[in-house]
Amino acid sequence: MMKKRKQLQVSGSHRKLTKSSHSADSFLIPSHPLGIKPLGNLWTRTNDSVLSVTTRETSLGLFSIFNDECLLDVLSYLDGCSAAMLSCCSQYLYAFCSYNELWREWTLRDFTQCNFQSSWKNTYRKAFLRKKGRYDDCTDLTKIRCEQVYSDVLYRTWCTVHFHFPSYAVWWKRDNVPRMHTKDLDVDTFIQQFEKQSMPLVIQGLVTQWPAYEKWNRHYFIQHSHDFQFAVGPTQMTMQEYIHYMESNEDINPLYLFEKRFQQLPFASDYQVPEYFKDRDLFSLVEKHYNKRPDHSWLIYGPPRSGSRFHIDPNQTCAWNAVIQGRKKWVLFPPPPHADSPSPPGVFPSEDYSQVISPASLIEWFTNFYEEAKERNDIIECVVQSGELLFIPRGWWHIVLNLEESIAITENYVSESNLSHVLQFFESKPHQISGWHDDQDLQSLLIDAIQRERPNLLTRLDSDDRSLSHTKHPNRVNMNRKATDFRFNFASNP
Amino acid sequence: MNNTSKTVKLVSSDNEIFEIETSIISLSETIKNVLEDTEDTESIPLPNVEGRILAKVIEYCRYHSLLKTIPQSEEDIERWDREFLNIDQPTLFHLILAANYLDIKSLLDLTCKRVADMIKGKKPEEIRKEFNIVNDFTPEEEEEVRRENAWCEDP
Repeated sequence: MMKKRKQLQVSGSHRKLTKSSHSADSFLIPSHPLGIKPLGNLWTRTNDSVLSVTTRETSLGLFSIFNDECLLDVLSYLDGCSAAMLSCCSQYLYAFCSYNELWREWTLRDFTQCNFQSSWKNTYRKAFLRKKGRYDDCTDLTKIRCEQVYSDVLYRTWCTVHFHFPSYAVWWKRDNVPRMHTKDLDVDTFIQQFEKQSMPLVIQGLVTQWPAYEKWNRHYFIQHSHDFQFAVGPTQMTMQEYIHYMESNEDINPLYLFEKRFQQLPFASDYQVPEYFKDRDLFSLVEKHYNKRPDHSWLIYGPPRSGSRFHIDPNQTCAWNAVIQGRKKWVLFPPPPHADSPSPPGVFPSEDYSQVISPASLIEWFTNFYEEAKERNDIIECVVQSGELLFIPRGWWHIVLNLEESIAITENYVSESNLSHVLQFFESKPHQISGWHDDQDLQSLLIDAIQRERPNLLTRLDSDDRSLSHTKHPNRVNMNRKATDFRFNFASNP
Repeated sequence: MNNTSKTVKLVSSDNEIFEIETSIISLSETIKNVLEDTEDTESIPLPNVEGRILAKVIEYCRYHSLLKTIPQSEEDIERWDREFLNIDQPTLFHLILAANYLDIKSLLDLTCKRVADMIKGKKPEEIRKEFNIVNDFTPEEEEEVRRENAWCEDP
């Protein structure tokens, strides 16, 4: 405990984060731009500051009965204008009302269009003044020093964002996913040994052949997307705006670009669906006959710290994720075979798996739960490098953290290996079908399309599998109940 | 098991005891979880909630769970909520604490929105007075802070 507190001692001057050459866990942490300090520093402050008039009680008045977390919750109900006025009242209120995550929440709530400007507070101000049709004569926000403000929450959030990933951290290195080069892996081996066995796999030497691998970067994207509005968290941005946001944001969970309409853009032809998955997706039969299908293909782009919280892919689909630029840390856990199989540590799905509660930020999960996770013998984890492709079997829990600015393509599919699970899911959780924007019953369309194109497949399913789906089989009953199903929710929670 | 008649005793920090139907107090996620985790719970100590605040919380839960069986017009509900919040600030703030601790989302929404309304449109001096806040800026800092936040005031 003492050691931890000591590590959090902050120097008065601005210092760059430097890693000690002696010990991996001793750090010099730069000081907070507002001078906010962790609570522990309150006990070691100098005589000068003891005499200072600022105390939490006086500076917050009635608000001081709330702890820091609760105070931020209460403040989240304000609007930007009230917060600006409140921040003029005292040092503590200035410090709390400057909290970046609050301004992000208010901006995304109050303005549909937000051209990100250096910080969320600036962005809010600009958007507010534009809406009012007023001229903005303030170039940038000044920062008052709040040297007498002590708050673990404010300080820790700031550290989380400015702490570059501790590359010495154990989770940076650990990797236990099998890797195979595409030249040593034929389609049939992939199906029999990985897809059917529900085993994750990294395939090398595939993505590197795509034109995308050479071509895709910031400049190329800007050049070829013009004013296309990309889906970014709950909002939309042009590529230029998003890149500016990536460079300058200080969010714990940066907004993630997750665009399913990118097939409309010219650079979508820079990659090909690998032969392992090509022409095997049974939803493409639905598309062939009905000219529609569930969402299945996404361009994913995000800065360090961005990523996806623990989830299971929608509709019991399998997926592949090809990293074109950057590096992604993955942690995966197998689908629960029994009703009492544990979820990943720190992750709490609702009984019907329609909602999942997990730490608000990815870094928080890695900081607080990775240690526990790595002790489990069913953990599968890896760092997928650019040029590699990860296969994610249906039903697996996974969390993904971008260690660097990363560009990836991901696609979800249903093949003969997971068809029975998909059909079962449609049957038991029709209201939880995700990515399907149509009134027609997807299950009927899928069965109908398969009957027309590959009738043998259903007959085979009938004999192999339908018998298992009767309630007599205890494992299958449990699996039904636990059938995993939550919606694609890659946007970080606003 | 008849849920509607089953009751539980809540014990406030000042040892006041409130016996209440579990169906009503289950509006609190915290209490609902306790009741689910431990069967046959007879009493739950709530060392963070004073009796007078707990009485208000129960009043709120009683009315809002009644709405499930006897629906009221939106107008009526709003009027009831408004009258319910006709309380002094310290009580309002302690009610927020309790709603937060007991995890009653709708009560937290209601009370926090009330605080937001109390701040809205006020100048810093008025806010300080309303919430008992001591100005700890130097005159120079205050000037700077006002300049920084002048954008939201009407020109």
